[in-house]
Amino acid sequence: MWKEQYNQKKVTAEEAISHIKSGDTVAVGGPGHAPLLLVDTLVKHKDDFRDVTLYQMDPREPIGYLAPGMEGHIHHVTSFCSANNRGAVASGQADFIPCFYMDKPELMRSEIRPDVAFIHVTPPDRDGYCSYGAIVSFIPGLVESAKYVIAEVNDQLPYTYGSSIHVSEIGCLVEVSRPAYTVAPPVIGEAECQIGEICASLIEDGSTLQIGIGAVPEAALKMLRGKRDLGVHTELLGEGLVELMELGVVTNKKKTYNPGKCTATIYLGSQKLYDYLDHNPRFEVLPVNYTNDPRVICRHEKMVSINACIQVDLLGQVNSEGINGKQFSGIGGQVDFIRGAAMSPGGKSILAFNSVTNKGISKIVPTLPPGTAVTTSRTDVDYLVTEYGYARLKGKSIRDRAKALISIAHPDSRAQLTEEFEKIFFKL
Amino acid sequence: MWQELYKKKKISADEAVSLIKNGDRVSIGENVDVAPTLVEAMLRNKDRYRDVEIVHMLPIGPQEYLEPGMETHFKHHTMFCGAANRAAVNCGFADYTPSFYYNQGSITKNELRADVLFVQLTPPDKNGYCSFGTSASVKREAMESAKIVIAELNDQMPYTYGSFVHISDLDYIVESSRPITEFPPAPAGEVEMQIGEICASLIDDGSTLQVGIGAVPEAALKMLRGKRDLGVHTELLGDGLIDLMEAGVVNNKKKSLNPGKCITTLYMGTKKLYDYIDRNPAFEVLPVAYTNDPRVIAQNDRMISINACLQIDLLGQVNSETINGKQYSGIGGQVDFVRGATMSRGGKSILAVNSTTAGGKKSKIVPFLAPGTVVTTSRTDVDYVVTEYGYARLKGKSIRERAKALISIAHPNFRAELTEAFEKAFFKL
Repeated sequence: MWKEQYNQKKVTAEEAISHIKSGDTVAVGGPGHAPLLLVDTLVKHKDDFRDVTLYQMDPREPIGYLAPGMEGHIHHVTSFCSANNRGAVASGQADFIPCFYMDKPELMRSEIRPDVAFIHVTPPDRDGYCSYGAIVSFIPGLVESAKYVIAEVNDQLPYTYGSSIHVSEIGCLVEVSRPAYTVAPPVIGEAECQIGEICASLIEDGSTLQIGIGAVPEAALKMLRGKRDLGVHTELLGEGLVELMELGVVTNKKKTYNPGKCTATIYLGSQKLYDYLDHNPRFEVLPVNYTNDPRVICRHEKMVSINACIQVDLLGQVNSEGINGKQFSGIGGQVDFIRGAAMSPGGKSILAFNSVTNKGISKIVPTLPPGTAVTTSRTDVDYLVTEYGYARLKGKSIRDRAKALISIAHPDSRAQLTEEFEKIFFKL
Repeated sequence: MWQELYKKKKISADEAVSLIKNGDRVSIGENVDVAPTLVEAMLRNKDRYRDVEIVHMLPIGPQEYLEPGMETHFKHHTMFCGAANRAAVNCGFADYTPSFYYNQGSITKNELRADVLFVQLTPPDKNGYCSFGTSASVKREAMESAKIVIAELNDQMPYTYGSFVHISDLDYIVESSRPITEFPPAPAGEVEMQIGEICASLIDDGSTLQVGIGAVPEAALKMLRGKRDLGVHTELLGDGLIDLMEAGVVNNKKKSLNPGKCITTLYMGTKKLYDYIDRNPAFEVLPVAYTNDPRVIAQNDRMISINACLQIDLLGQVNSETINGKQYSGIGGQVDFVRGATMSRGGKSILAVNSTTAGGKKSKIVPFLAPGTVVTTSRTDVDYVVTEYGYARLKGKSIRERAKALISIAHPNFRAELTEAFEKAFFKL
């Protein structure tokens, strides 16, 4: 039955994009894992369209729609920046919508209201259900809110459990065979190992973790090898967590919610990771309005979230998304998990970062420069970790916060930070 | 039975404050619930103390402990600034701990656990239960964690429902009879009425409201007289809501959580309010850990929160607590309710503000917040912003659309310079 539908819906990429009209809004999932053939075909045929809005979050693979000559054909809107669209957002060529990750399905329904959704799925199983593969994110919300759904069906995506779409819900589909999007393991230096060790010292056996990818989180994961019975409820699941599963450190046995399973909304890693996740019943990949809802997160007792940030001022205000007033990344799920962990019995949120940038400039600053967006407010922030130790800010006075932050700043900048604070506020 | 306990626990105010030792942390209550007889006795006996740390929220009542010359006797710790303690906080004499109001019960039990607690309550009922009176807030957490609980039982305190404690759980009792401090509604001018009218236009019949006190929220309440079936789930309940109850506009019938009742954690108003809530079963005063928990707030469908702010920048970042980098007020429950309303089905959060200050010379919508300014409500949390020139909805809007929307509700005299400043820092609008 569904097989007939499948065959009828199978078209070429050119035929697929003929469903798009000038003035339409097309939305693509993210981060990464984009249906690249569909995006590329749209870009190639730009002259057939005027004023198409293309929404894509965190476009990690090469994109052509920001190249010169696209003006008037494709306008890009995003809610998370990558190296690919950062410049366009800063110049105003592309639009950036600040949005909590948990709210992105709602963003689709109420603001983006896509005419066409581009999705990337596995071939159907014997009942006609395609898995969303390595990324669920806000895509179910995107599918529900779009008038027409075009799928790129890729036989090299891992078949994962938790979320799926039936062939009958797809408007038309294009078959491809291309390796899944992969990210290389980060380079972990000495400072990252020290930060990771301090993070690990804050994590008790039996905790449930949310932990990102990147050098610091991956270093923290390596330092967790001596722990027992950890669980995973995360946004983004990478290589490091799978290593801990293989070592028997992550067992998910003590999870007070969804025990026995790792829950996530995206997988990002190597082909080895995707092979491990393929048809693996111990993993569930679920919509972000579920994984990132603080009301869901806080049902995990001893929930520990570990995220990175760019800058912290002496009041404890955290910038995790901008550099010199320009949008560098996005809000992502940081605040979702910080709020969830704060409401979890025994929970902790950790923001971990090198005390200085790679140019040696202190990331702990007296005040944030004008035009900086505060991602995590000083009232939300709890533990901050650098290679010099940790500062716990929750329940601390302005004075104690500044002192604690200065104590984990790079020693070379401590005297100046104290001086600046005393100049603006009062004697420490 | 409890009457005997009562007699044993009853002492004079001076005996009570002699229980305070040097270096103790003394929590004195908050707002109109600061225990006045006990605070006066403590001040009278100040020469006995060294380094006693006084903890409270917004202090109303005697505050001589903040005056010069008190430094050796008293230190000071607060989670909210008011006229009384602002200067002390900003010169570093008093410590200020930023905290969401919903979380202050936890801080009260842990980081700011008291050695001695002053708590103002009603005298006991026939079964020995004292009502929490005009506030629940963090009283339960404070009583459960303090080493010594001294209750000031004031027979003029309204007997309210929802929160209570038994005589057996108090360590010492001091009797008093004093009127409760009154807070008359702030007078609303023409601009406030315009803002109130725009807020009211955003509120559907059947909504549940959280409305603060102050000129703008009170004006919004006045504009709601034509609505039907409103409910109340709030943090602070003042006289304005009583008028709406008497007019039959607030009846709590359509509330999806706690139907039939007004829920709050504080009352602040005039004697008319205090008399109205006395033994009134249509009101419940509950711990702030409940009223302000975004998970609870979100269970009220069509939850509308209306709060004030001091400044908003063109990114949509809201400062509700600092002026020129100095702590002016506190976080309070604004963010709790903004988040709860966002998660409520059909909910909306509104931040209402006059477009200008300093007699029209300064715009409250600014290109950037000055360095050292605190962002109370983040640009990702903020939804509706209202001035006398209209409303801007920011949720789901791009940086460009946000700036345009905010400029459109700024005072006309400032719109051109706001546009210019934005374009210089970012890109063409």
